[in-house]
Amino acid sequence: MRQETALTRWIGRERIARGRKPSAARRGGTQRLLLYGAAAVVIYFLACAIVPQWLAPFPPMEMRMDRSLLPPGPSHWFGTDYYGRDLYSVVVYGSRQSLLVGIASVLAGGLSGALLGAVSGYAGGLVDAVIMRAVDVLMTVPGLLLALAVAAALGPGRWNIVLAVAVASVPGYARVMRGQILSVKVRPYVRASASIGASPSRVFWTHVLPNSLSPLYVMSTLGIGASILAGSGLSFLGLGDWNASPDWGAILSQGRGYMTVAWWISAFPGFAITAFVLSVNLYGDWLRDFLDPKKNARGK
Amino acid sequence: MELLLEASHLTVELSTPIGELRVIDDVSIAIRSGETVCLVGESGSGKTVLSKTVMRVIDQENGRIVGGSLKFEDTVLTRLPADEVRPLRGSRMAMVFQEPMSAFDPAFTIGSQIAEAIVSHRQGSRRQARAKVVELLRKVGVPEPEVRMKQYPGELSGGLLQRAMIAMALSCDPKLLIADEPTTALDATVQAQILALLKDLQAEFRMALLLITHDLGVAAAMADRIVVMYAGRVAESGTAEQILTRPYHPYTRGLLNAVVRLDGPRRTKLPSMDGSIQGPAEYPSGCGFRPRCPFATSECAERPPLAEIDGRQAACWHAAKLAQSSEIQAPLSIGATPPPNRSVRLPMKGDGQARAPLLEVVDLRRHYPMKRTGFAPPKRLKAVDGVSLSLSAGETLGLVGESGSGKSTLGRVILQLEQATSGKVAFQGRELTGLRGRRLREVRRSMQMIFQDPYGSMDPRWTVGQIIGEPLSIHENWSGKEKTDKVKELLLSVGLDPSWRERRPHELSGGQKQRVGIARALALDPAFILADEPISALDVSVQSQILNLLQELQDRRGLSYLLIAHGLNAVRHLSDRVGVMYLGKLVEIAPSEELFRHPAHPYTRALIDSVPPLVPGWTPWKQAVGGEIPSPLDPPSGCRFHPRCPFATSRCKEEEPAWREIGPARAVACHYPV
Amino acid sequence: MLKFIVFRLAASLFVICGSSVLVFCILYWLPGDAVLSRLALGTASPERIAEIRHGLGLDAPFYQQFGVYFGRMFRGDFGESLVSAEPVLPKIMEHVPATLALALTSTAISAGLGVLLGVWSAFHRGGAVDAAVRIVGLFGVSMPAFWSGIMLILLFSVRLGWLPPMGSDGVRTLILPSLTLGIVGTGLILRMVRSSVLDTIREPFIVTLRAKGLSERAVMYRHALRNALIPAVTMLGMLVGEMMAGAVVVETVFARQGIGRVLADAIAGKDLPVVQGVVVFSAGLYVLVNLLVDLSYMLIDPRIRRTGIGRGT
Repeated sequence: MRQETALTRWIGRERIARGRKPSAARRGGTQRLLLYGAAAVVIYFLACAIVPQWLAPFPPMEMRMDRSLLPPGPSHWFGTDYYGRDLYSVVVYGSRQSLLVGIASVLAGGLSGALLGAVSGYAGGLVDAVIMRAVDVLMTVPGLLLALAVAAALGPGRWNIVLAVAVASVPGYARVMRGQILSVKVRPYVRASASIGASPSRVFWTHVLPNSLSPLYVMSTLGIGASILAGSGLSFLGLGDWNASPDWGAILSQGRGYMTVAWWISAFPGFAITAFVLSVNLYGDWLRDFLDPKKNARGK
Repeated sequence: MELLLEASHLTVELSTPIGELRVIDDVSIAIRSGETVCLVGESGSGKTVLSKTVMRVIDQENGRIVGGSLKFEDTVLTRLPADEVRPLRGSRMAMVFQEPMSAFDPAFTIGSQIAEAIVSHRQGSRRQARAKVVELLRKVGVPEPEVRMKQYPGELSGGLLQRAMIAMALSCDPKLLIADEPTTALDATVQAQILALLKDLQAEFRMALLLITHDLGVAAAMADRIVVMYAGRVAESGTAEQILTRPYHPYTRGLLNAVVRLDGPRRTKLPSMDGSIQGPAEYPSGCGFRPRCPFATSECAERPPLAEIDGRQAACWHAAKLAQSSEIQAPLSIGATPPPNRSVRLPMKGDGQARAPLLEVVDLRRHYPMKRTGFAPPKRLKAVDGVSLSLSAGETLGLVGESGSGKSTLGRVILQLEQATSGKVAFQGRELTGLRGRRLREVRRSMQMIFQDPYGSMDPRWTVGQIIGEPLSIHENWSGKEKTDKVKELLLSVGLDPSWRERRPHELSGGQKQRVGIARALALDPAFILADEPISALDVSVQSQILNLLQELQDRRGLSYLLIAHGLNAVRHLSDRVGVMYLGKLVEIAPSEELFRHPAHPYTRALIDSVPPLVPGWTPWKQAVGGEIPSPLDPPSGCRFHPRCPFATSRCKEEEPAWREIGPARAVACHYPV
Repeated sequence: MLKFIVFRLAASLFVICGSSVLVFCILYWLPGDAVLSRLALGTASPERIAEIRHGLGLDAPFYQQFGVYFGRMFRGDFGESLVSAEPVLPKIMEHVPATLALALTSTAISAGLGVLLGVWSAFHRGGAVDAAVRIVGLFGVSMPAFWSGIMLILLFSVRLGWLPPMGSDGVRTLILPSLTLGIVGTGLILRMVRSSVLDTIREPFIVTLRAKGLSERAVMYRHALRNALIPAVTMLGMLVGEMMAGAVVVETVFARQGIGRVLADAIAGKDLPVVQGVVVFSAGLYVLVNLLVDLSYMLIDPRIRRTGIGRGT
């Protein structure tokens, strides 16, 4: 139960009416600058994933022993590896794999988790009990461990990693979605619609579902970051795709062997992961503040 | 009497996401020691901000004093550093808040929170503090203080928590007690107890009381002086007598007229003010009340000063003129006018065969199975436990009772929004309890509902047109044009501009939203409408507008209402008959006028007695019923009211009183009806 | 109270059984054959494969394998490694202490630092401290542990030579790995604590506390923190899971002999009985920790102590 005075309620209304300026704009320069920077990073890596040939100066698989283990310099920004491959180009090409794992597993895990949660929350009763117990069980195995078990059973491969990470993220989405549905379905406007004579499915599609989605947006944005971390972790452990061009985790894993002689091989792929995940998380945080109904009506 | 608190030309701004808002504008008030000043105003008038400013807790809420001065005893608070204000807070001046349930930290015991105040002001060691807590709790009427002080806030009822809150405020002998709507969240009978307690304590501790309230009845009962606020400014101030009997400011006048009285005429059109109070960013220049004022002239574009007139103050250019004009009537002169004739036949005994009632409820029960705790058989929460009533076409039946009496559950079960555990509900001769799915939804055409919370009962993403049109989309197979026309017609009939159908709920005020809610309920031309607390979330001046609208629609369309409300005044005004519920049971039902004039059940009597009328200095609260409504999980044996009933005998404890007719259309469940 | 504990214990047992069923099913049904993939490179004849499968009981129908597996599990027998033919459980037990030491120190770092920074940040909300702490938190949850681990090695072992880069004996080898995991945990906890404290200070009771004359410090550290700790403690339970999963990566990076390393090796070597054993074992540990967390709620939150209702598993 939160205190809501007439004034705060009114300010909330006023903010919505005036186009809901996000808190970032109000907090001024720094955060806006951060968000612009993050946007640039995200766009850059998306471009890398879509058209790597435009951005990479060298073919990623070109091996030339005459330039083996060169440190970062003007011609090879990130240096080269043992086989003389240009590390920057390898990272650029690797972004496709990494981003694919992040986005695909969020889509798969998020959609199926949300579906389970929605059905569970709206149907209630026995259906709810069965689904939630299953989710409880799924939840007991920590995410990455579950992903590891799945990936170990499936063997190495890109889609296997996607599946593994997606399965591990299902319980989180299911729980959040269920909680959200449960809270929305008792809101007065949902009851009002039922009292008018709307059928349960109509109530669900027109009122309950559309009003339940906002935490899911936040969660899946933050989830992209988490999935990329998990995916590259699996691939670091050797469960990635060995045939396609290596993703960031795999490059890093190869670089570990040269840690003492060529720090750049393990540093730069990890830096790419951090930069991208950080940017996505920054957006996730911003989105959370923006969509938070509690913060709408208040200062600070 | 010496001056305790003096605010002169105080101006406060809040920094909010939409910019700096001037929420208190040039406000001057003075409180002398020992007196009671009531700050009266609607939501958004700035009264709460003013009280927080006096305590300087506004600092932590993005507020700032930007002008004027504030002086408490000999200390100028205006620019005092926070460290020096703190020793005053809670010791020289203390505060009691609106919602006792959420005003205590849930993670600490009541006792430790009170002791914390004592210790932090160095009024004693921990051990001494503990002894003092017991003494304080006893003083404010908390039974078994040694036990209660070890309990957590979630374990006490609202009334007990508010008593504990008062004990905490008193812990360091404050000279000024600020109470911000201290009884608004409480039931009427408990409100009466708390107000009586405040009055007693004030005399005993010889402290001044700044009571903030929207309820003019409470102000009338408590105040020595009343300050009326509007749009962040003082509209008028004077003694309670002056303000209540001869208001000079048009706003005060409108407010007093808009109050529904327990002793006023029933079913008349209530005098009401137009519009509603604006938000702080829209406060008009000049006189803040100008847009709603029937007397506004071009002069009012300039801001009226708070001027001294006849030993009181009013901020209105026309105050002097209005004071003399014959239009100002003492609003208290009321003779009980008989209700106008309406062609409603009250159902009487043996009447059933002649004409079937529109709605008939027989022995309806709604029990909730509770979660099993341990190995005892699971308990059942009997929210509605055997209620029978009927309603004829065109009639209004009111249902009153404290929170927890089961009245809202009853409403929802009647509408089949919840399944009955047992019993029957027949509507237009058709049994509803067995209906499911499509056939039940078909019945909803003629049974609609108006909700308490106009903010919450509309999907925030929808436009007004979509909201009102939703029932049409569900039940009628109409073209877009037909639907639009109908929506326009509905908007007109509830007094809104048809062009508003493009707006979204958050662009409307509370009253306007409730009108939209009513329009939605009317869309399918229902025969019956359940109105669950339709006005309790609205401001006083808007309440009467909505009551008028409900009444007008009933007269025009022959609607039947089941009106559920805790405000007796409104129920009496609108209803033909009134039922009183207590702990899931109907304890009395009678024609409205009779019920209020001669209540037969002691509980009905207690409810009526707890409503403060608009008479200055009215204090018959001593006879107010004690205690609070118990949990419906463990209702008392026999007559459920017996633990609180002043007339209870051993028979009441053992034997449940039968439901018996005591007159035409009158029945009561009491062994000893009054 | 006792009833509550018994109830929670029973629920936990159920969940552990459930999770082992889950792991069993995943490994049974998902495509990929342990024997085949192990022997794929070799030249074993189909007869030889069938023989091995039979020896391992892998040719039995599902329910039979399931029954055998569970029957053994309750006797504490998790089967044998396909690689070394060692029994799985003793192998796990042998490596538990190293992992436990890692998980406990990093959890302690995360909890201590996370709560401290979180409250500090909330106390100075909107200011420079807040901004700095928020950035730290963001980095914590955005850096992959295998990367930050390698970076720490590069800095403290390779460049500065202060700490050993690998190994699992002695306290000095524990510092870098637990710091690596601690950074992740600190990020998670401080973000949680910060937003939870900010939620709490919007509660109406905070105004009451100010109105009775408490200092802002007392309001924050005594009342807001106590209320904000409840969600943070839940997080702590989940954190232990994070830490155990993170141990797989970190132990690989730092070449520590813990169960994470056992798991990583088993995965690389397709040693399914070991994978299964480690995952089920960790799940059990995780459930146990969360049970403890649930019980500790009762110390913090009187509302739960009273009703005996936990917050789900």
